[in-house]
Amino acid sequence: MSSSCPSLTSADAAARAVDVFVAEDRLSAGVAIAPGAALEHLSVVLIRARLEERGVHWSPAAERDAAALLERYRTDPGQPHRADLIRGTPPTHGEDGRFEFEPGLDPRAIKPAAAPPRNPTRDAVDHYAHSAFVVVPAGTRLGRLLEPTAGADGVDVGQRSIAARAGKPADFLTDASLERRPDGAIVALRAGVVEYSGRLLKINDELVVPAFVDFSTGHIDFAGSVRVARGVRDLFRVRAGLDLSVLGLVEGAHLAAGRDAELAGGMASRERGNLSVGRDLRARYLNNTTAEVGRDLVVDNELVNSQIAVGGRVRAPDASLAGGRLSAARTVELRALGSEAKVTTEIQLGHLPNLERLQAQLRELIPPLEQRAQKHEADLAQLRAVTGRKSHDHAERLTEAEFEAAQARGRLAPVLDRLERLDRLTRAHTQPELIVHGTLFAGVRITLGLATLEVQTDTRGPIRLDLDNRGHPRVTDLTTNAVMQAAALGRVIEAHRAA
Amino acid sequence: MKILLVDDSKTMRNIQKSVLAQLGHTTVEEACDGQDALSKIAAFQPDLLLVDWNMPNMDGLTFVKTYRQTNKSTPIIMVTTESEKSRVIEAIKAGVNNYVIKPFTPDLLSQRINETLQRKAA
Repeated sequence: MSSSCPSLTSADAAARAVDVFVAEDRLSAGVAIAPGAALEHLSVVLIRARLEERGVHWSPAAERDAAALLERYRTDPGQPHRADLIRGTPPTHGEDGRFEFEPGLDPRAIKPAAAPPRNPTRDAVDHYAHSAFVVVPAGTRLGRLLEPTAGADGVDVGQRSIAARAGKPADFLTDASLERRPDGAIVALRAGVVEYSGRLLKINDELVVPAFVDFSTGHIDFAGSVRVARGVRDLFRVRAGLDLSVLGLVEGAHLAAGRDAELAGGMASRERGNLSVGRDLRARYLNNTTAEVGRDLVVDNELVNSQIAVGGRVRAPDASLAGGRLSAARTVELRALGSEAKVTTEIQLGHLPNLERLQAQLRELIPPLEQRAQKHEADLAQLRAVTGRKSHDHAERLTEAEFEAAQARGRLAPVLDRLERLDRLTRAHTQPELIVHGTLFAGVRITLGLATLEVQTDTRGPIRLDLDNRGHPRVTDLTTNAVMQAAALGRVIEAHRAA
Repeated sequence: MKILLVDDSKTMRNIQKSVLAQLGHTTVEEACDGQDALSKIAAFQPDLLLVDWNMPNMDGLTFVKTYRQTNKSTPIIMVTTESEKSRVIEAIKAGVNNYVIKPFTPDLLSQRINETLQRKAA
């Protein structure tokens, strides 16, 4: 209680002149002494008593501070004096649980790349190489989930406990792509791209590019499947270990899919890009593109001025092929082949370029090996022809000749064997057949088996071109089933005379 | 398996080495005559010897007799032009286990080596 009297003369008045204040949070308490209090009644004991009346717990440190306060008052009793004498301990609240990424693995930390400068310097960064994704192999430790802490209680000026607030568990979820270890480590169970929404962390074995593959994403090289929502810009590389799907246009880019690929927006690479597909490819169209397809190719609209090698069939019953070259191991089905403008178009049926390359390499090896073997056999025959008792030297020469002849035969035999096996494989996996539903234009060059047909007459389909039992090309009108020799369509050149 | 080739002809040694390599034996030491073989044999400790007969310094037969004084068990194949029956008998008496007459085919040499090793194993 404070007094408004300028001068207090009783002990009670002195006591009333000592006003106690306690902070709202009860973490500090002190006294204020009004001016004009009776000095003879002011004491540390009085101050202590006043504080304890208010439930404040006295401490040894307060003795010293109270004495200092009184000393200051005595020096200048005409002024009010105050001091904090007792301090509590605030509580230490618990920390919330959280997930901490290993350096470099937080996908939210990746900044989108800016477009490269128009005139990059020699030391400029390779903007194509910037990656917008965090891709990890299986077994990668992504980070650690930290548990919440309980905190520590505080104490107020009355020595009462102030409860600390415990931390909350992290709002953190994982799926089956991740393992939580006892020490809190989060480890990837499969390879893929790290996705984190701020709540759910997972490894996606499919990489989804929400827009274009361009400078904002950099090249893409991913072991799983890749899906591109828009297109792929010039000179960018996209490699998917499994399937590749691009909804938009692919420009002059380099694409590779280990398994299947689908180019819903087609590919127009202006002879700058290429495409390699391990299994099947489906494309809206392919313009000025180089492509290698392991199995089947399906095209919706057109194949123009492209170099395409297909290990299986080509199904394009609504598409036209004009310009460039197409080779396929099995049936090719088209709407139209060639063009009215007589653009040079080549098509090779029943071809497996990779196997044929191997066959050619083996065939090249054979003549020198055969020559060597024949020479050694001739030498051996000559030595064997010597009759009578053989000298020591002759016997040794004969042994040497036997050895060299055996060596030569040993080198030749596996080459012949492999060639024979390749020939069998080629025959088993090829089926030279062409079906044209619309028009086969003059100017088209078709190779099947050992023959090449240079089409000289526009022919309306539906027709089928294949080989008869003797390996000669023939044409079947699919409307009437009438069969004729391919020479009816143009000039047929046998393989040994083909240019 | 360690094999010692004793022959004064490097060509012959190369042929035998090649046949041995095809049979999977690549630990091979070479000696150009009987003396050379004796100097190498203690350190090399071969499991099989292929020995020519007609060699300078010490011929094959003398070498076999000398070797057999201290080693009765390691198999020896004589590879030689000496084809007369008396010579063959002489070699067998000296301690040779098998005999290949030059000229030989690589197949024949392989066969003799396999035979000798199988007999040793038995």
